Amino acid sequence: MDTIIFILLCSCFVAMWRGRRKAAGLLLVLTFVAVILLFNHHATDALEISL
Amino acid sequence: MRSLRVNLAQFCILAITGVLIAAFGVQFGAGELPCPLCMLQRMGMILAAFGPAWLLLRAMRGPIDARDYAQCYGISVLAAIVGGAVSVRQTLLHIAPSDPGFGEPVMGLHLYTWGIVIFATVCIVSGIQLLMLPKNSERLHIGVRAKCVLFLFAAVITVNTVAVFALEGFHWVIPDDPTSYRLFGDAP
Repeated sequence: MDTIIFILLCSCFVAMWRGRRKAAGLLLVLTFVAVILLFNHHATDALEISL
Repeated sequence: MRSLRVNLAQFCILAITGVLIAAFGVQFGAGELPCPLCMLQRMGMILAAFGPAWLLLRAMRGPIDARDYAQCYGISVLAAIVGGAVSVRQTLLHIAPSDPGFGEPVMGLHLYTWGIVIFATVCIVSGIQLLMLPKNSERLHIGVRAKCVLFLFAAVITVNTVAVFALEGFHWVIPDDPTSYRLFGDAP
């Protein structure tokens, strides 16, 4: 999942570099969602361990 | 004022790139492998730098207006909130007095505590930038220095991608306390 997010970050930067605003925006939203989902996964994981 | 905006955007990218290079120093120099929350903070920092990076990249293609500035620094503020939440989470995990914390402290603070400071600074700097929005669209001069900063930032993202792939291997997530690069030392 981390690798996928970094690939999304790379793709987003390339889209920005090439001036593809819509693609960059979409990739940015996808990246944010993926980061939040991964954070949620790790947060609940640690919560289960502590419980 | 225009050059101040360009310089501030460059400074933001360069500062975050410097922090990410320092994190590489800890990872490859001191041999401390990053935990999943550390990696999430790196993602937050890269996303926070995307705001000023996008501003410079847009400015290369033509004039930019207040809406462009607001969008770019809005990205930075959102990224700082997400990254800051991760930093606070990790700090709270190690807040008990007997807990030694994760990794070695740098200048008295652990890296995740520095993360809170960095994300708070991103929010403050973005707020200041948003206070200085231009009334009309303007054309910014993007020089060689700005392009070098963007290339350096791109290189850091690329190296991070390779490093995280080596660390994660063909697994879904990074282990809570990584001890080796799973791409080389662990079967999928």
